Parts: sequence; structure tokens; C-alpha cells
Amino acid sequence: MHGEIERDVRAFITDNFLFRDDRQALADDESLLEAGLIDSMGILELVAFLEGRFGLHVADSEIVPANMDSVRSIAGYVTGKLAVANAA
Amino acid sequence: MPIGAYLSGGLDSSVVTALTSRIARSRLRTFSVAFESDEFDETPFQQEMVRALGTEHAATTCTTYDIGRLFPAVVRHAERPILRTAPAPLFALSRLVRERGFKVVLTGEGADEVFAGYDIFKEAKIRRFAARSPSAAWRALLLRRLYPYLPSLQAQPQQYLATFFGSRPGDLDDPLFSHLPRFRTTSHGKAFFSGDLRSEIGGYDALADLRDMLPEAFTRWHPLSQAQYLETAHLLPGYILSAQGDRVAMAHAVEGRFPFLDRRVVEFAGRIPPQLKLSVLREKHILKEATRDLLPPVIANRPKQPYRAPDAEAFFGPGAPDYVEEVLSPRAIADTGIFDPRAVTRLADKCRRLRSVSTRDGMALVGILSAQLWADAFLKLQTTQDATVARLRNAPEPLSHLT
Repeated sequence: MHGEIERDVRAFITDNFLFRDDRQALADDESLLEAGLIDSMGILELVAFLEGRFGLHVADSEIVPANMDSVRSIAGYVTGKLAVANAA
Repeated sequence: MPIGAYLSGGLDSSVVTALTSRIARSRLRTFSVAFESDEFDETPFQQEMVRALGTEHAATTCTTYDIGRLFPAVVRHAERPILRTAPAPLFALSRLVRERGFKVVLTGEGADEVFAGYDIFKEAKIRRFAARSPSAAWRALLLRRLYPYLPSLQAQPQQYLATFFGSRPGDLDDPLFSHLPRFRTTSHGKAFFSGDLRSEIGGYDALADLRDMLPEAFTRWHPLSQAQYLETAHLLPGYILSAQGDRVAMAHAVEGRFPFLDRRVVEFAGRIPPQLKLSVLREKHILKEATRDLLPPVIANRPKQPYRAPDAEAFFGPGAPDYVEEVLSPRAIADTGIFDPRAVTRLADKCRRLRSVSTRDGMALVGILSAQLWADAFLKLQTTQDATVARLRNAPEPLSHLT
């Protein structure tokens, strides 16, 4: 499950922020902000994708770099949210 | 020769029009662009000025898809790739002026450079302040207040805004400090360059080039003067007065005249202390004070609304012009060789899906589209001419005298 989430997130970032294939592979923990791949508008596009693809609600207070700044942190955040939703 | 005036509804063109109507021998003629969307349209303010001055007014409404349809002609007249569609409505405006039998118009161009009207001057002031006290939590709030007319910015999370407008180590010492966020946004477009173009460019750094071109005393100037210089020396002649000015006006044989760029006005403004132009965060302070009695209060007290036009949305959706799909097709992109076909396809897909995209994606899209149209209009024409000449050179005797 976690691997699948990571793959989907990575594909979304490639199609929407990286755009090209020949850039050396994005590291799992690479900062999207520091790499200049995502800006303050891009983060809203990412949130819309996460809500649509995984059926979760992202609270405003959760839109922080700790949750959203790398493939790994995003996948971790989504996994955590889904676990809470399933437990409820 | 009858002279008309552009009326945008903002301070600068209103000042020019008000002063001109005082000395005009007959009723002054004014011309405006209207937009469908409230985000861009300034019609109520234009009407306010028309009522106050009693000018004979004409307006042309530019729809989002008009911009898409006019864009190839705009690029042909600009003779260069451009990153914004803003010249297109002014192309439609000069056509209106021409249809009404006028050949010369006065505009408010130059006031934002000379008297410090652009938001980038305020943005730089806030960023410089924030860079010196980096922990201040209110800085993103200030930045949000700076752009009240950008609905998308209002929704953006604070931490990300702060990172985007914030400074990186070394930024404060960079002579280009005021314009760094803008340069970074624009450079996003380079992600779409083809492998061939990338290797040709190699390690070339345009900002290093720009730093080398600065006047010797530049680093000792007041920060506002530095930012004004970058706007005036580079953006004004290369874009504002060219692609968005002379090129689209002359497309319909209309000549623009710019009272704020009169040498005497520019020299006078150059001697005014920076804090009288940008007073705290009030732009064009001294110009507003000096012209208060000329204008209706609603115009004089209006916060600045920069001139903008719909960008990427002009090229996608139900009314999009036909040429777009062809010009952005992987085959056409590969043919021209400037961009990476796969990357362009992904960007076009994103624009199609979202309808409203971020500033940097919008600029990349408009840049790619205009570069493709520009290459079609000029580079391919040149290739055809070269081929014809070569063919004639190699032709049997009777044709050879033609070369």
C-alpha cells in the first residue's frame, strides 16, 4: 500500500512539476521547495490531487513543509491519514 | 493631427488624459480595453474618468479567446517570443484607434518606472525587511496584502508564501535582490528546453551577465533606485515599450506618445528622494499628491491594479483557437528543436485539465507557444528562402542569373 502511494505521488510530481524525463531521478527525500519544483500555487495543486486520488481531507493546518516537502514525507502523511480514517 | 488618449482607469493614464483635456482645442477622444472577467476588467473606473472629463470615448471588449486568436499576429509583430499575453489586448486597442481614424495616442506608460508604482518595489521592500528579521511571522500576511487582486494568492498557505518570497543565504548581497523571485519564476521555463538547446547553452548564466552590465556605482544606490533602474533599463525598452507598446501599436500604424517619459520629467523624478516616491508602502506617493485635484477621488484613492490579461486559459477549452494543438504537437515541437516534446505535452495536458494555472506554468506555456509561432514565422521562412536560393544556384544555366 505504502509503495503504491509513493508511486502515485511520484508520477503526479513528474507529470505536473518536473515535466521532463531526463532529469536525474528525484530522490525520495529531496525537498521539492528547495529544488524549485513546487511553489505556493503548486502546493494547492498537490493538495487537490491528494484529496481527489486518496479521498482524504487535508486540513489547512496540515499544509506545511513537514507533511508535503518530499515524495517520502507526502507518502508518509497520506499513509497516516488513511490509517486514521480506516481505524475510525 | 488629431490626438487621442488611452484610458486604462488607473492613475497614470487618468493624469495624462486630465492634463491633455485641459489644453485640447476640441473634445478629447479616449480609448479603452474591456475584459469579460472582473479579475481583469476596469470599465467602471474608465467610465468614471469619461464622465469627469466629458471625453468622447470608445472601448473594445477583449474576450479570453480573442487573445488566443490574436496571439499569432501579436508574435509576428513583436518578432520575438514573449512570456505574457498582455500585448494582445493592446493590439486590439490600436486597431480600434485606427478604425476611428486616429494615428497618435497619449498613454500613461513610464509613470510606474519613474515614480515607483510597481508592486515589485513594495515586494522588495518587504522582503528586504523580512530578510533582516527572518523570524517575523507576519511577513506572509504583508505579502498577501500586497497582492489583493490575485485571488489564487489569497488562498496560498502561509509557510509556502514565506518560503517563496523569503530570501536565501546571499540574496541580500545580490545587486539583483529586488527581482530575484521574478527571475526564479521565469527561469522555470528553461525546464522545457530540449537536450540540444541545453547543451548549447551549457553553463551560461544570464543573471551573471546582467550583473556585469550594471553601472559601477549601482551597489551604492538606494535599494529603490536599484530596483527602478532594473525596470527602466531592461524591462521598459525591451518589453513594455516594445512588444507591449510600439510593436502592437504600429501593427495598426498608431504611434504612442509617453508624457511621463519626457526627458525633463524623468530627470526631475530622478532628483526626488526615494521615500517621496514609495512612502512606507504607498506607491507613486508624490505623483498622487501632486495630481489629487485633477482626478475624481475614486480614481485618485484607488489602489494600484496592474494591467494584466488572461494567459494560458486563452489557448485551451471549448473556444480555443485551432492552431494551438498543431503548434504544440510533439511533431511540431521536435521539428523546431527548441523544446522537449514530452515535457511540453505534459504542460499542455496540465493547462487543459486545470484551466487556471500558476503564474510560472502560464509564463512557460505562453513562452513556448510564442517561440513556436515565432519560429514558424521567421526561422522556417528563412530555411525555405535558403533552400530556394540553393536550388537556383544548382539549377541549369537559364535560371542561374536569378541568383
